[in-house]
Amino acid sequence: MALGKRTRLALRVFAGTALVAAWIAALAYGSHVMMTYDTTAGRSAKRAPAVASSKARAWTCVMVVHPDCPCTRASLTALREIVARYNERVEFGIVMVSETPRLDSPNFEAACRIPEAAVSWITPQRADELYDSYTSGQAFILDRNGDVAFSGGITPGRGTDKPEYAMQLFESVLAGKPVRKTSPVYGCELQTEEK
Amino acid sequence: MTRTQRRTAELETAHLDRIYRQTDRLFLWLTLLEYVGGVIAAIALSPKSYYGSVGVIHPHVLVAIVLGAVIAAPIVVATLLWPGQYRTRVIVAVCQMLISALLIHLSGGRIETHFHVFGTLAFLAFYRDWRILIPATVVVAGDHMIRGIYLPESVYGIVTGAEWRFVEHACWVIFEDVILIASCKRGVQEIRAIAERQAEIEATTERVEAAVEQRTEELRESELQKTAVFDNALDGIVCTDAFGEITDINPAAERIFSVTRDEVMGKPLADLFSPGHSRKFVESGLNVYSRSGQGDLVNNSVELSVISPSGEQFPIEVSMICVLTKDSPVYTAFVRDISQRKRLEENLAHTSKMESLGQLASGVAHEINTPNQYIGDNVRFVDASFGKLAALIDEYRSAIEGAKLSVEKAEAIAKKEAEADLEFTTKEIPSALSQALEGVERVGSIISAMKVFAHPSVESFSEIDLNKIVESSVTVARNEWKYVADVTMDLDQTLPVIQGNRGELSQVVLNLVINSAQAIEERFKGSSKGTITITTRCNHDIVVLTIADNGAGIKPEIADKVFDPFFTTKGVGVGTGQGLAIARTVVDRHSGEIRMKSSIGNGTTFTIKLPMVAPEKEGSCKVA
Repeated sequence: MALGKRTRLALRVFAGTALVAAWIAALAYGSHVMMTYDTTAGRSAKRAPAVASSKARAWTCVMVVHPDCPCTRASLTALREIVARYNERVEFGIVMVSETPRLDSPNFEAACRIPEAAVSWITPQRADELYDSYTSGQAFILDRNGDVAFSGGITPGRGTDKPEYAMQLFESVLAGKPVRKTSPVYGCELQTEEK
Repeated sequence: MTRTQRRTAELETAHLDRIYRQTDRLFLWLTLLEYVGGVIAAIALSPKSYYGSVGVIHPHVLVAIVLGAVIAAPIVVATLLWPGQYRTRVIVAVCQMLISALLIHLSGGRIETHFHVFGTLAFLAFYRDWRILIPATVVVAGDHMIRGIYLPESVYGIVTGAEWRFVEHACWVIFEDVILIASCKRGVQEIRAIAERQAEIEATTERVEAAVEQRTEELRESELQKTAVFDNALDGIVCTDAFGEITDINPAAERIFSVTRDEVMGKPLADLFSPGHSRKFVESGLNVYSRSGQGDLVNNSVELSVISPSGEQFPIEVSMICVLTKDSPVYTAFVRDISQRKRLEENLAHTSKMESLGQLASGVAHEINTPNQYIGDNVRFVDASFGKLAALIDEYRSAIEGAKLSVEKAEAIAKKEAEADLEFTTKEIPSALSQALEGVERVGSIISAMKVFAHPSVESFSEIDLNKIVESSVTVARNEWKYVADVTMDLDQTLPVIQGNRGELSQVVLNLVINSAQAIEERFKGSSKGTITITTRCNHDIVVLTIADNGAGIKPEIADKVFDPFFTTKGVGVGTGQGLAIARTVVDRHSGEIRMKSSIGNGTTFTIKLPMVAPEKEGSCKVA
């Protein structure tokens, strides 16, 4: 049966509206998923690392890094800026977490481009033991006594490589200003399985 | 709205539509490039996300593929389905801004990525449609506002204090919008100006083409007229180039020179003329004029001659002009056959001469006629009186013989008679008087003939039968031809009557028959008889009389003189030289014509053509 002109027009309007609505819904859902992922931080360390602080410098900074995590690359970029400014006062260490050292991994190469920082390799189990660390990019700032002045991520978001955030953090910590001692860590999980 | 304004609007719309479609295609490929580039960048920067040593596809890669497709799809669909339409441009503007937002997000709010927004706005300005900058700006501002509130690090790279930062970003976008809107409006104005110029050019071209078409039509008609004049001119026209070589010739000239166009094209003009003076005159005339711009040929009218295919040379009048073209001079010769005019001129001269001779003859005849009359009268008187005187002398002589005269007296009388040779005198005087009378009468007939020649006949025209005139004239002249020729008459019995002078035409026929008889006698000298053939025919509206003989013929060098008065080849006393002159005068008076065709040793034919008058009253003749 042939449809009337108005009916066809109404159907077209309906179909168009439905299509636009579906498109907006898909767009909103995709944005939601993306934002959820970007705003969901990893699990932070719940205790102080079982490592001694530096005796030569006033402060010690250690960052636990997954060798392949792309989100941690922003943390290493920020750390590089920090090292350049506070190398005199802080002893920096980068701990690469992997079952076996992988010298061709992108984050190891990025860590090596920070010559003032000592890069070492440990296994995930050892990282758990020493740092209670679960998320790549977890950083610790210890004072000369080994007390944790800061524990958490040094980027404001996932993959956000703005060094200002980390610079402000270190400035406050090193100046003894009041600062949140923890912050979200955005990075890949260091452990394959949940503990 | 004028036609030009309507055309301007059409051109502007067409130009803008072309720009819209071109820019749609640009954004189609740009969107596909952005999509592919975004996916490649996501794969390159963050291919995987890790859970310890286990790697899975990074969510950013999935977002680039899926969400990127969701954003890019409307652009692809709209540019393919609705190219050039406003909704397509709006969809492109909105989705391009969403692509910018996605890229900014995936880059973690890097400030450099924000340049994608400004670049895209610049690309959108390619449309020259400032309206689409509004939804684009709204999308950018809305995205920055929402994400600035809820996820500032994804758009500004900072965590806090970004709630109102979207205003700054929006202001920068609006700043660019202002520039781009001005650019778009300027672009549209330029397009409109181009359309106006194009419309004016088209209108001007249309007017010019119409004028050219009209002018072409006028030229074509003019050309046709000139061609018609050229082809149908009664005078011949021959065109040549600067070297005197023929470039064109019209049909009249073809007839005059007895040539065809194909034969003479490219050949020298001089070749058309008679060899000798005419040809040399043309050759030298062209040479002189080409060198000096002067001469007797060009810008002059000259009489030259041409030879017909039958070998007859006839006069033509040539008027030649020179026209200077941009490269070289060209010549045009106007040629006219003046044979007829020449004949008329000759006839006029002849008539004038005849008129003079007529006046002279009239005077002479008048002067001679009077003494001739009283001479004749006196001779007749003497002749008539002499018989009586002779009888009286005989009586006297008888009386003297019977009378008794003295011897001396008788001897004296006898001596006087012997001295007077009375016997011989009385015997010969009548004969002498008779010969004197014959001479007087002959002088009288010559005077009468001269009067006929000199003065129109006073006898009025009447309806006459030419056949009867021929028959009677032949009968009258019988004594002239019966010993030397046989006369054959082939007379058209259907011949209509004509208007004419019976006596004059009889004289004409009589003169021609006598001439024929004398010509035959001259040829055969009595050894045998010749033939005189007389025919009459009716040919359309004229009556033709032909008198032919097989006599001695007339020499060509005197053929044009035979009709002159007093011209004769006959011996003294045989002809007066008036016969053919009278014949011609009579025929002319009858509005006819007389022609002579002769061949030495073969004879002569005289043809007389007389106009037929009112043939319908007498019945039309049978045309042979």
